[in-house]
Amino acid sequence: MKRNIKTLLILLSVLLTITLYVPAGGSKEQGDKSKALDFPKRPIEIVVPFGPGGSSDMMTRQVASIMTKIVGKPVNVVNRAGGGGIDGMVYVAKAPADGYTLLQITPSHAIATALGRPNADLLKDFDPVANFQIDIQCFGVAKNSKFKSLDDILEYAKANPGKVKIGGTSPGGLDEYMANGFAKAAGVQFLYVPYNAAAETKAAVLGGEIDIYQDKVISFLTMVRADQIRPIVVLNNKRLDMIEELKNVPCSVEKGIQFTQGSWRGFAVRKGTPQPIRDYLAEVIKKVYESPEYREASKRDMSDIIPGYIGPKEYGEMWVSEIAKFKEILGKK
Amino acid sequence: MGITIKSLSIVFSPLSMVFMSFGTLFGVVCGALPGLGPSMAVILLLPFTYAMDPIVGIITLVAVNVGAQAGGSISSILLRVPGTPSAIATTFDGYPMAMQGKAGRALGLAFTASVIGSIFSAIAMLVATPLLSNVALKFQSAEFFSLALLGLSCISSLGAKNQAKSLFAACLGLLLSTVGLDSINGVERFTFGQEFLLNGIDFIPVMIGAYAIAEVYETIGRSSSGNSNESSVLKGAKFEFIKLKDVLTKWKTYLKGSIIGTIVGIIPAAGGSIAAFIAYSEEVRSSKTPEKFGTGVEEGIIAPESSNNACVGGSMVPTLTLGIPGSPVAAIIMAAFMLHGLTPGPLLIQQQPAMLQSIFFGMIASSLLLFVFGKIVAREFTKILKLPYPLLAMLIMVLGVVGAYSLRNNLADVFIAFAFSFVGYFFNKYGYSTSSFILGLVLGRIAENSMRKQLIISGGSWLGFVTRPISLVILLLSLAAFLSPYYRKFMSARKSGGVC
Repeated sequence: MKRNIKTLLILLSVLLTITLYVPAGGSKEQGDKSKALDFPKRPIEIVVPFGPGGSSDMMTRQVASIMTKIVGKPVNVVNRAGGGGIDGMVYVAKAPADGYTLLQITPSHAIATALGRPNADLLKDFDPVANFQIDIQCFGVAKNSKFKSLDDILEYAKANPGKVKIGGTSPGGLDEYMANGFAKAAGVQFLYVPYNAAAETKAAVLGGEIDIYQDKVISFLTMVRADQIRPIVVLNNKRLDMIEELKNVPCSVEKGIQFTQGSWRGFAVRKGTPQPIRDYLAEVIKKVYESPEYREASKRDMSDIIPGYIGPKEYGEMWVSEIAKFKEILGKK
Repeated sequence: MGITIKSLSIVFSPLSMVFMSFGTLFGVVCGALPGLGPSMAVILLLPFTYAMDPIVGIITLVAVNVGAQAGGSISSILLRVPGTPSAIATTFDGYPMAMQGKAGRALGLAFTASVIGSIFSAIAMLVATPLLSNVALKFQSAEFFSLALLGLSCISSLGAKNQAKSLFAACLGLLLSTVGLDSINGVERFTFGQEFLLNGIDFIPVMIGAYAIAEVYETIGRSSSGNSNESSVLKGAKFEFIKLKDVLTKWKTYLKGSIIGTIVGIIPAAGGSIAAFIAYSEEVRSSKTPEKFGTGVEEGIIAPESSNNACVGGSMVPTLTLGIPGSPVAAIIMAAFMLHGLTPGPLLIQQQPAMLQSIFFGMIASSLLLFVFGKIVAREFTKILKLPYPLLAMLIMVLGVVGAYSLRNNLADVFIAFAFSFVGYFFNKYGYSTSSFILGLVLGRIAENSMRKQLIISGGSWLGFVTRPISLVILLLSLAAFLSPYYRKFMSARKSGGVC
């Protein structure tokens, strides 16, 4: 008798559990249909795969603070630096594809893909959300350098292959690609010297250890305005007329050097994240980009010199073309 | 004169005093908590400065940095867990002092040294900014290599008991520093296909394991019978203000540490941890009793603590004049300048004439505030020493794990910390020097990278290291530092007469 009651109780509880699950499952399916409205339910995390204080980190922190107001849930920035941006990339590639974890990306990730670094494939593991900032690379020399213009340098470099020293950060990274790619297009050879930090590169060029200083336009302008650096070329297909200091600086294409490259900073999510969520995130990023707060902030720190927003579709196409370019120059080493 | 009055009125306005006090306090607390270093502290407060007047915003951030550099010593001394990377050298003598029941005095020394270091570097910054900015450019790859070597040269003093073992430990550290993507060619070395090794073995988790966690094993092993020396530790745990007379008798140590810190601060990208190591090794070199270092010598706290704080002022020099950040934290402060629409560089001094002097007064004010907050925070932290050891050990482990994890938010670092806790334990047990090991690991990467860069630049010639005057002087100094313990041993042996 006792045993019977026990089995009955167990049966009953099992039955109860099942009945409880049915409506739950039902509501979950309903949730799928109206996902665009349902997202986000909890805080969103943006992974910056670099250390705090860099341009990627500063940008993401700005985005997160404005984004919080738009989505109505906290947006947290998490730094996962390491391996030249790969640690953070691997982390997001393993996170659930639910749109709650975004990865902040740069050309470093496209380069890692092009070089076939383990576990890091931008195209296979990620879907584009949107690009947010674009930077253009500039070359310059120290104010007291013996070189006065691009022609001086190219002339010297042709006579002395591999003697002109150009600095940059991260070996096998974007800076090296730009140094080698530019040299190849110009028909010369540079000696590339990799430094640990941008600060070291700046000190090295001012101290005369290297000849050419390369940097993204914002940081580059700081050095030009400080009257330390003489700009010699902009790696672009037209002059940067909107910047007073760079008005009279030639661009690479007008000098007959078919090489243009910049840096970009955008966002991606893990592959397989539902389309409505990706669309929603791209929309939110666009709203952040257009918000008066960001407009004002970007005007102050000059990050708005080149319009940076690129929607998901075009951004995905950009990834493919960038990776192909990187493969061509860096892959042959 | 008008500028001075203007800057004084900015710095000592009630509102900026509130911000600065909060900044300093926040810095001290962040510094004391392992895993939250000066960089993170400054980043966390950065958004709050957007709305402030640019000058007030910047001096608040500088105050955070001053506080964090000093706060790191608290957990170094009390728990042997360095609160910040620049407080590693403070554990060498700070923790032994605390074990002898002089924790309060050790903390007092650390904060006094921090205050003196900050004030010295603030004065140096104000007086000599235009002159000093050129010093930054004199330090290139060759000099970086020599500096790293100077830091390494103190291994011969750290292992006074057994030179061979100390050298072995240092070499092991150097070897480990080569793990990961090599910084010149981007080649993977000793990574065995493991992605967590791509970035190399960071010294922070290793340090946490080899010092803090290893110490826990040892204490438990030693005193499973009961609490051995806790009562004496507690007695001396009250924060002690150092008397002026005391400071004056050791003025040389304070001054040397401050000068070294200021200079290392000026050198781009070299931060407080390198400054602290170099100051420590210089102190050991010039000491009459180098064999006592590592057992709780007061100079062993003063030197690194005065130099890591002196770095703060030093690092502002190239930031303000050249737009080149002098340390990783200065790089973030420079970003703050940009966010306020200011361009660091010579123009800044023209556009914002009050900026330099305001930073100067701000640094002096926040340094003096260090005494107050140092006492308050240290008092709260010393309370944890009252815990029975099993609980304290738990706390050290938890802080260690959090510190290792939060470095890159990566669990792999926690495993690294535990792996090296055994290395540290057995090193201690068999008389190998953990400090030499860590020194090799920290400085190995800088030494290798700068040496190889110099060789690329000189086309493979080694002459660059000795033909550049500054590099040559530093190399000779490191040789002297390396050989001095041997020389002393030789001399004393001769004096006692047994040697032919």
